[in-house]
This record gives sequence, C-alpha cells and structure tokens, in this order.
Amino acid sequence: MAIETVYMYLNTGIMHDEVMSHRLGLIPIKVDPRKFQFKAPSKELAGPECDISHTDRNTIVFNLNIKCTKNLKALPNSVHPNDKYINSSVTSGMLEWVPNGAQGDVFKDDPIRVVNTNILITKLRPDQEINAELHCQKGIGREHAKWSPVATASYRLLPDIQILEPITGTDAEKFQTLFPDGVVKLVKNSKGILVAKIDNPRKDTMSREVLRHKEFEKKVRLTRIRDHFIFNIESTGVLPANVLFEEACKKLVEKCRLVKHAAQNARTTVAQYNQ
Amino acid sequence: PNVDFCGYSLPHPSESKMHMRIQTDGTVSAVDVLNKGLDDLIELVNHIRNIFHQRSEEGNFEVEEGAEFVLEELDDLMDE
Repeated sequence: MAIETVYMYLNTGIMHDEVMSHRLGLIPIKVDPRKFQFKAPSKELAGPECDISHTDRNTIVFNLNIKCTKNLKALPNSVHPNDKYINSSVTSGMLEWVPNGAQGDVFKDDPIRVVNTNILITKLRPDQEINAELHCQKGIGREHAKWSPVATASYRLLPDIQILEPITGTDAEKFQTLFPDGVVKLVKNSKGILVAKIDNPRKDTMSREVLRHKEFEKKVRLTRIRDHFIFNIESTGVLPANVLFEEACKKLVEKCRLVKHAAQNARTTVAQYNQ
Repeated sequence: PNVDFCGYSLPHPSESKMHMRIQTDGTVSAVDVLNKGLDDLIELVNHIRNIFHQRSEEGNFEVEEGAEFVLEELDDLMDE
C-alpha cells in the first residue's frame, strides 16, 4: 500500500506539487496490504473483488495540514531553522490517518500510520502552508518500486575455507585476525601448540585478505560450496521479513500453477490441431 | 536425463513475454517434461516453506534489536 493520488488543495511551499507528490508516494505505510483489495483502474477490469470506485476496502486516506509560523519565543541570535520557526520541516510523522467506513473498527488496535516518522518530506518558511489529501492504494512492486515491501533481497553461496597445511603458533593468531570475528578458532592440539581451525565459515565475507600475505598463500584455499545458498531479505517495515518470505513462496507456487494450467490447455489445442 | 535442451529467453525486457524451449530425445513429450518440472518446483517451494515454518517455531535463532518476527499460521497448501 502506498500513496497513489494526492489532492493538493494548497501548497505555497518551495517544492513543486509533483515533486512533493513523488516523495509522498515513496513513503512506506505500515499496514498489512493483504487486508485490502486492489482498485480496478478501469471499468473493464472491475470484478467482484475489485471495485472501480473508492471504497473503504481499497483506499486509505491521509491528511497533511501544515502551516509554518515564526517562533515568537526564539532568542534573537538563534540561527537554526528549528529554533526560529515552528513546523519548518515537514516530516512523514505529520501525516494524519482519516478512518473511513469500517477502517476505524478493523484497525482500532493497530492504527494505520507511516513506518518511519522521521522521513523529511519538504521544508517550509513562515506563512507557507501545505494542505493536501492523500489516497493510498494497493499495488505490486512490478508497477512502481514504492509498492515493493522489500528493501533489498540478495543471496550468496556459503564460503568454504580449506586449510591445506596446518597453521600453528603465532601464524595461527595472525591467521585469525585476517578473517572476520568468529570464522577462525584457535585450538590447542595434543602437543600444546595453538592450531587454527575454521569455526563458522558463514560469517566470512570473502574479502581474500589472506591472500595478500605471502606466507599463507599456499596453505589456504578459498572456494564456495556450490549448492548451499544463504539468502538475505530486508523489509521496508511494512511486513516482517519472515512473513515476506512465506508470501513470496505462495506467490511462486501460484505462478507455477498458472503455467501448468496454461500448458494443459495448450496441449489439448495442439492435439486437436494434429488430428 | 531425457532432456536434450532446455532454455529460456526474453525477446524484449519491456514486453511480458518469454520464449521457452524444451527438447527431449523422443522418449517423452516436451509438455510432459514441462509439467514434471513445474510439479517439482511446486514441491520444492512447499518443502522449503514447511521447513522454514518448522524452524521458525523452534525459535533457534536470534532476532536483532528493532526487528520483528511474527509467526503466522501456515494455511493449507492447496492441491489441485
């Protein structure tokens, strides 16, 4: 869910309407998008679950009413705009949610708000005012990145560090410093000498710092395990990251089923064509 | 094992179309291969989801400060 339409009633600030609307659209809204329906863009695509009109099931309304005034209590030599003026910075926390219809009851315990209230939208000076009504709609990340609930998603292969010849004593301690904490562990072997052992290769960042030092060049091999993947999913705050993962799995299965149906239909048409 | 060639390409990134080519050695039909591949993929994803859910329930991990971890019900994996 993200801000899609901005009804600008009054904007005497410096930032243009369209630039500010663009910024408003990118603000993440903390609400579970699964509780809402898509809004049909045109009459042809409307369906039972997809209204073309604004209903309380497909639109969230926010109000942004800010006026910047001079701070009469400011000291004469204050320089910072936060001291001299009131409301000089418009932050995302100033968006007020306006419950419509059933939204007031459904979201009573968990009111709809922005994920982060510190996002700076624009700056104002005295006697400048913004008065706007913002409508949020549901969408997917493919259409515009503002609707994507994921900040970054990446994967890497598990690093595999193999020690070819034993590394002992002071060399072992130096070896430990060349890797991030926790990767190399120093153990005392039967003779009482410190030996380096690989403890947790997951934490290794593959920086290859080891290979910069000539003495370790032949003793160590840095490779990756080809079938062990480590995934990283970062959420923008709308949904917890583990929920994002499960929803993504569901979507992938849905898409597979779609293709399967299509393939089955294609098969019957091909068979008819061949006859 | 029975598949000689399998690949896909996107003729143009702006268009939502994809060309996929499956070539078998004749013992099975290409459409069967496609169906089997999709079935396997569905099974794989469901398996990952189940294991992920199980491990989340066990709680053998750390949640960093400021992060959330909400365990939701695993709804039925629909079968056709």
